Amino acid sequence: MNLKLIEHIRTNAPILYIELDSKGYIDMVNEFTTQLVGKNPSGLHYREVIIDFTESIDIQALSQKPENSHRISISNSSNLPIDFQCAFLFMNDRYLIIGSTDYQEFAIVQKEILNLNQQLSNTTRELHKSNAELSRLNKMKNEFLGMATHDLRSPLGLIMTFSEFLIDETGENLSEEHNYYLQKIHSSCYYMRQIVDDYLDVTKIESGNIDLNIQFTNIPKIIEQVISVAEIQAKKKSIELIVKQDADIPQIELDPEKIEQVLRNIITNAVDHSNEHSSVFLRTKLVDNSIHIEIEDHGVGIPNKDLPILFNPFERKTSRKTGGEKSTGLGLVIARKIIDAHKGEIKIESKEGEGTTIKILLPITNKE
Amino acid sequence: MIREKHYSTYLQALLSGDQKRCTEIVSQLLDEKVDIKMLYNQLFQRSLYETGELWEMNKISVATEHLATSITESLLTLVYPIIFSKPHNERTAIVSCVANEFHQIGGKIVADFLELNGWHAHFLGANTPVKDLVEFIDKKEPDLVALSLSLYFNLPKLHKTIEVIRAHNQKLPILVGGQAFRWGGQELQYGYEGVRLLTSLDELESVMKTY
Repeated sequence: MNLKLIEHIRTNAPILYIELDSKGYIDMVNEFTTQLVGKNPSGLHYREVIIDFTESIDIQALSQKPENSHRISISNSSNLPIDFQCAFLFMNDRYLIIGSTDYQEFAIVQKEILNLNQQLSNTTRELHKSNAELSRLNKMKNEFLGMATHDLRSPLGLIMTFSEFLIDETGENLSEEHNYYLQKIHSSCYYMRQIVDDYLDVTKIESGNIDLNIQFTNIPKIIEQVISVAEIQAKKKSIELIVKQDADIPQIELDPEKIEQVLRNIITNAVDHSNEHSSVFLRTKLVDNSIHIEIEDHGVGIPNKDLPILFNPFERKTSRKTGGEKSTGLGLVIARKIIDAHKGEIKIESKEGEGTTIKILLPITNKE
Repeated sequence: MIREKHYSTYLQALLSGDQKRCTEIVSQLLDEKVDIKMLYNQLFQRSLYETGELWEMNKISVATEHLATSITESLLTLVYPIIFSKPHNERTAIVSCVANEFHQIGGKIVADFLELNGWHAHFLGANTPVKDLVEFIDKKEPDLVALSLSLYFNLPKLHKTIEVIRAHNQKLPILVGGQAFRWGGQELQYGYEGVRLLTSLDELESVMKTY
């Protein structure tokens, strides 16, 4: 009965069990060892199974003190070393190697993993804390910028109105030089108000205060309106605006003023960056459940290094407009935020010296 | 109130190392706008205490206990966006484990609770050498220091840490707490001026108002 029990344990227990002949060749192994090695290693020399690259394992010497256990590594089916604490015995002209998993090794690895996990979790905590602090600072920055630009808007409006009044009423009585100064005051004021308006838009959007006035909108009609205004600037540079809109574009729910702002900005940009006597193409298509708008110019293009930062506010870009037009560089930032708010997408493809294509995708999310 | 059904499902998942299920339960509670203090008290802390007791009674292995702790630490990160975005005051605390104390989650929960109550809590983690702790105190000039102790046999290290802080700073309030005090050592708070032993998160919350 006892022999049967021992035989059962030897064959089935999850222990390493290897029998070697007197020359070190494997005679037999149990099922656990076969599974571990990935094949029955009978007939192989023990050095082909036990990792012993320094050839320091002396089976004969080890078996003389069977009460001492030794750590050995077995090469498993994936050629990875697995550690075992083993006893070596010599019985009936055969060597026996009996081993169990090296729990000491497990404990060391476990402690290491636990330690690393703690460090990772502490770093994650610090990261969350820093992120929250950065968000607070960003909010403060936006509030300050919002207040400053809002306060600047009124006096700028006054200067614009009165300079306009002076040009209209007294322009003829002034000398050419004084008239020039007055025109400069007016145009600079106009540009400054553009900057202030863009800053206000960015701060409003970044603070999450973008209010969408959603209503059924005819996109082709908006595009026609924008084109009619852009044509004035385009003509000055002999640029042709070529518009092609599919006939089946449905009315969709969006904020018409905000989308007009986006399109005005992108089309104006396309004209500003185009070379004289070139063309700007505008295509509108219905694809699946969304409207695709594509604006393509053959102008100066965008330098590669600017492409990743195009949608980052307040980062200086190097692309220059062909007619020396001024802008804050915030147009694309605002456009992206507005399109995001409509759950749409905006993509830019550009090659310096060849031109730029901007693709806008607006999903049709009509509730009715 | 965390329902008993939720708690027992969570505990079972935690003890079987099922991080995905634990994450689902916590995420669902957060979606339902669970009170965060309740989440800490009635889910995280309660399950960790129960896990510790099971380990003490040899009903689970140390590996299972460590896994449960690691899963809980990872779940805390789900709550961080809420905790850290709350309005904060100017109060600052440093929370740390003493040298040789490798169980850090109790201290981390205390640090998070301080944040929940509007304080800025710097958590220094497990096994912090006293020299580093004192240097950090000098740098941050906190309003209080909280020291966490999980294993009773580390009590002498805690005494040593308090003595070094006191030699350096006579008045800085020091809070101590942790599972180690279930086995004794409560008299420690009477041996030093300005040292107070806390036994629960609720007690911590009421004490914070006095600083």
